[in-house]
Amino acid sequence: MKNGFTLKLIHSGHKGTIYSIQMAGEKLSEFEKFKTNPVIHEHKSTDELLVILKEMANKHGFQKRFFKMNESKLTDAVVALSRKNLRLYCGRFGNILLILGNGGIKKTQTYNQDALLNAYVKEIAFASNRVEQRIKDKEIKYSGNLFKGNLEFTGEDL
Amino acid sequence: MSQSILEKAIAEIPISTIKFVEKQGEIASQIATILKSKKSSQRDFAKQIGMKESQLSKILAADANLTLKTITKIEAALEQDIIQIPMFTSQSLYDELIYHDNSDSPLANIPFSKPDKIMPHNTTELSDFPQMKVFKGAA
Repeated sequence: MKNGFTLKLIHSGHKGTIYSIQMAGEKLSEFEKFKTNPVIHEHKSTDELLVILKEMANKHGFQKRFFKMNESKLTDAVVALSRKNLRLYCGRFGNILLILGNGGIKKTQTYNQDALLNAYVKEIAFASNRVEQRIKDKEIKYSGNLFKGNLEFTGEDL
Repeated sequence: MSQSILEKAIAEIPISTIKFVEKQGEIASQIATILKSKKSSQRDFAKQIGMKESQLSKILAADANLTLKTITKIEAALEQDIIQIPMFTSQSLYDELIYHDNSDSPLANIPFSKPDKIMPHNTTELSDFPQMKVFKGAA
């Protein structure tokens, strides 16, 4: 994260668009890392979680009721998409834009008791804060269901 | 148009799972829309149907495997249907498959007999359709 990140387009539908954060110098976005993680791949709810992401983007929008809200104290944007004990942490920007971070299996009472999940939440919170700031500064705008503007965040921005 | 990263990820998922989640999402949205139109809160509605609020939240998050009994209980409380079941009835079935002259159909040479009675469109009692045995045998 300290070297920067970009927002990579994951899917665009009639009701919303999904991005994921991709760290500078890495080939895969955080969502692609999540999806290819063997533990996640084997989880029986992963398929359902992937399909509901597409359904939201195509038909329903990223309405609050689909998520566990306010997962981070750092920003209201951070939410979790959950199926059983599987968590995918996201930054939610209204009903039309979603930024995916990473996630995992929640085995503790709260995510912050788990060092890895805690790190993922901090990561998506940090990225969401940077995006919110650029929106405030009008460097990123919503256009239709897409972010328009500079979606690359260098180390100097952070 | 090329597939998105998400669509590629979903390409290998069984169609039954996709259809299940589609239905979960549609039912959830249907309930949410009706609750909104009735200005009913989740808490009040959960109380009304004797359900824990957390369970209703899961339904509205498209994260529940609802039984027909629960769907019916919700429909009764909402005074509105949330799912529609397309009916295959005697009339539509015979119109489509039997009485039309459709020699290209693989069913064209199956010897159907006319039913003793034609049931109304909303009838679902298969026992009233002896011809169903023919379908079963032909499959």
